[in-house]
This record gives sequence, structure tokens and C-alpha cells, in this order.
Amino acid sequence: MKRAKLVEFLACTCLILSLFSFLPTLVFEGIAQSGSAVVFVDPSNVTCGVGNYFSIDIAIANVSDLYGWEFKLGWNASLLDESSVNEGPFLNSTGPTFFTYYLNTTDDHVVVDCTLLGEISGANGDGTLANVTFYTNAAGNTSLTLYDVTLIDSSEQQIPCTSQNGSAVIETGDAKIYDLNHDGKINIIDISIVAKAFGTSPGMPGWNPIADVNGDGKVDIKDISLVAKHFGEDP
Amino acid sequence: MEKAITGIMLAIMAIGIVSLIPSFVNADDVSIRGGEWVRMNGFIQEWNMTNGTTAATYGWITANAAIVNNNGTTHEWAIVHATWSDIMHGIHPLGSVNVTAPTVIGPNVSYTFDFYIAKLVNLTDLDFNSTVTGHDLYLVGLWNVSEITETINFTWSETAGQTTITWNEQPIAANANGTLVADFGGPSIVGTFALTIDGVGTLAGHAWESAIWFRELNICDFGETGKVDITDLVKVGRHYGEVPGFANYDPTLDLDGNGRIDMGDLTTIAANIQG
Repeated sequence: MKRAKLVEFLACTCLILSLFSFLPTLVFEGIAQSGSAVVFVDPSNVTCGVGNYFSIDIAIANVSDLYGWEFKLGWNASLLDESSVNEGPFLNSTGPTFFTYYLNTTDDHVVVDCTLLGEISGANGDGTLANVTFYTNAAGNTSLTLYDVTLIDSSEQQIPCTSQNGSAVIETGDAKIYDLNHDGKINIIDISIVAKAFGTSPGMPGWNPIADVNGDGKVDIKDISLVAKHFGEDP
Repeated sequence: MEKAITGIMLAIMAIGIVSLIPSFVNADDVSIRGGEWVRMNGFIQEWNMTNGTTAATYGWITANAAIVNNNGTTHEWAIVHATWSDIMHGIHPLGSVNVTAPTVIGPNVSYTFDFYIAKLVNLTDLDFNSTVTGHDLYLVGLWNVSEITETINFTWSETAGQTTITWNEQPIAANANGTLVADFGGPSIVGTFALTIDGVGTLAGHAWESAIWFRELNICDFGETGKVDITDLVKVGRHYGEVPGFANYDPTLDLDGNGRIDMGDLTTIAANIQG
């Protein structure tokens, strides 16, 4: 009888020890849920026409001693093309930084990393981590999914955080905007208006804001292709 | 019933023990496995020079090497560099506790260090845990060696301090034949190594980290977590701008082996961050 109790006691001990091996995960998840730092897409909802650019910020709120960060942002590549990724001012207002990103074209996401440099304290409060600009290819809805967000403090420890996704609605473009001379037809005259201003940007001789069809601050092949795509239409 | 409980108990214990076993196991035929990776970091403690004299030495060696079986073809690579000095500067010649930036306005301070850097530039032979060589790591190649004279200046304006570093590099050997051998000892046993380079002599010491791994070990994965990410980038970022002589200088972060924690190391990590 005594032996049986001893065996049961040992078995219970082993079970308790094996449960402890799961404890770190449970504790970490508990911290993450109650953590105060939030990384989010700003604005959370974007509406844009086909053939245009739009930008979103990846922002952070309520963080302390942020020294380095990493996030992945995913989207529907049949609707959007990533155009540029730029560092936001939050970390580099504290000190010099190193910023890098990698666009994974096979999996439709970008990995973005940034760290402060040197033995200094991290950034506090709210701000913008990065800015991402997209070009809209086709109409539809897509999520702008933030995941694998990692925040590191100046002691090289992970800061608990949560993340909030965004979304974009891409609407079919109104063909009227491609009728540049408003004569009711999209024809060679409209293309020639763009061609005449080709290669210019604001302040340059020949700059014509009407010819900047997609509104990206320069007249280039994208503007010509947008008008050409609607060639012959009577809007 | 007792047998059943005992069986469950033993199973739980076995699972627990297996989960504690590290990747450190005896080497086997690499063709059976995907490959073998070695990481060794050690202190250089002795320099047996070519003129027959032996000098007490302070410095570091970092070695990463792999033998990979890629669809039946064996590939070998290695990245090895060493930094050392036989001239004492204070308590330690290179990791001096004195060389930290002053935190209050004070007189200008200047420190000069003389040391050597050796870097593997061409690998010609590599073997792990070989009964032929009798060593856990056997590495033959061509090495470049330079003597560095470095001055760290702390100067003060009215409000702020500034650190400037001058770096004078004098090559003393180019494409010299050299051999690195190491014996790892095993878990909790300190390993030993010896690096012999023609025209330089033999550098010997103890390894604080030495193991054969049977999964890919990326040189940028400092935490050996299996992936390169922001934690590795931050680690280099914290030490950015440091050189031998700084109290917190960490030679394992000098990925390109140029003796400095600089932009080359940051970009190396950036290129290795998994997408």
C-alpha cells in the first residue's frame, strides 16, 4: 500500500513538473494580453480608386524604451503593389538608426526592421514607425495584415505588444478623369497632353498637374498607361 | 495499476529528458545528414612567435564553419578571424575597463592600442571530429594578417563629448598558409584551440563556446534561435561603433572580421533576416 502511494506521489510530481514546462508560454501570453504597447495600421481603413497610390503609417502607441522593432505586413498582391517603404520619425527622433526592409514577392508581404545605434535609451510614447505606399492594380477589398510584430527594449528584452490590422477598398476608377481635355472622348489628344509633360514634376518647365493622372507628383509611363487603358471610351 | 502508473511516469520523465538534450552529439557521416555546423569562440592566451619566444597574450578568436551535403555534393565554408595583442594596456590589453566615454565634462583623454588581426581569406581543407586529424575541428587555409595601431580620443566641447577613432593598418602577411585545430571537450568541458600561421607563429587558448551542430547555424543568429531577426540586429546596434579597446567590445558581432562593429555588420544581418 505504501509503495502504491509512493508511486502515485512520484507520478503526480512528474505530471506537475511536465505542466511547468508549459508555464513560460502561458505567462508570456498573459503579459502580451495585458501589455500596453499597440502597433497598428493608420488609417485603419483606406478607400482608393484603381491606378492610384495611397499610403499608410505603421504607428505605435504607449510604448516605453523602444530600441528596435520588426513587423511583417501582408496584402493581396493581385490588388496592390508595394511602391515604397520609408522609416517613420519615432525612433530616429531619439538617436541614429539603421532601417532595412525585405519585400517577399512570393508571399506578398514585407519584413521591416529598425534599430537604434549605440548605448542609448529607447524611445517612449506614440509615433510612426514606418510609412508604406501602395499602387492599386485592381478593384476589390484587401486586408493590410500586421503580424510577427517584435519590439525590443534597450536591455535587449522583448516588449509585450498587440497589433491591429488595417484594410483597403479599391474602387473601379471613374473614366472621366482620363478625359483630360473634357471633350467627352478619351483619345490621342489626352495621351498627347500626358506626353507633352512627360518626365516633369512640380517646379519643372512643362509641368502640367492635369497630366499627373495618378497624382504621384510626376508624369511618367504610369500616367500614359492609365489613359491608354481607357483609350476609345466615351465617359 | 502500479505498473501502468510507473510506465506513465517513466514516459513523462523520458520526454522531459529528451527535451533537454542539446544539439551537441557526436559527429557522424555528413552524407547521412544535411550537414554539420561548427561555432567556436575562444580567448587567445598565448602567442608562440616564430623567433621561439612565447608571450602572454589577450585576444579573441571566432570561428564558424560548415560541411553541407547539398544533393550529394559536399560544400565546405568557414569564416574565421582573430584579434590579439601581447602588449598590456592596463588590466587587459584590448578589453580595457578604462576605456569608456566620460559621462561628465572633463579633460580630453586619449588611448592607443597596438594589436593584430588575422582573417581567413581562402579555405582549402575542413574536417570535423576526424579520426585522421584527431581533432574536433581541423581547418586549413590562407590568411591575411595585419598589425593595427588604434587611437581612441575623447574630446569635449562646451556641452558635449565626442569620440574619434584613428585606425592605422599595416599588412604583415598576405595569403599565408595557416591551420586551426580545436578540441571541444564536450558539454561543461572547456575546449582548446591552436592557430598556426606561417610568419606569425601559433596562437593558443581556450574556447568559451565550441560545439558541432546538426542544423544550420547562421553566423548572424547570435542567440542560436534558428532565425535571424530584430533581436540580432539590436545586439549589433547596441555595440555599433565599438572597436577593440572598448570595455564592451564583443568580437563575435564583428561579422566581416574588419575589427570594428560597423555598417558592414548591420547590413550583413539585414541581408540574412528571414522574409
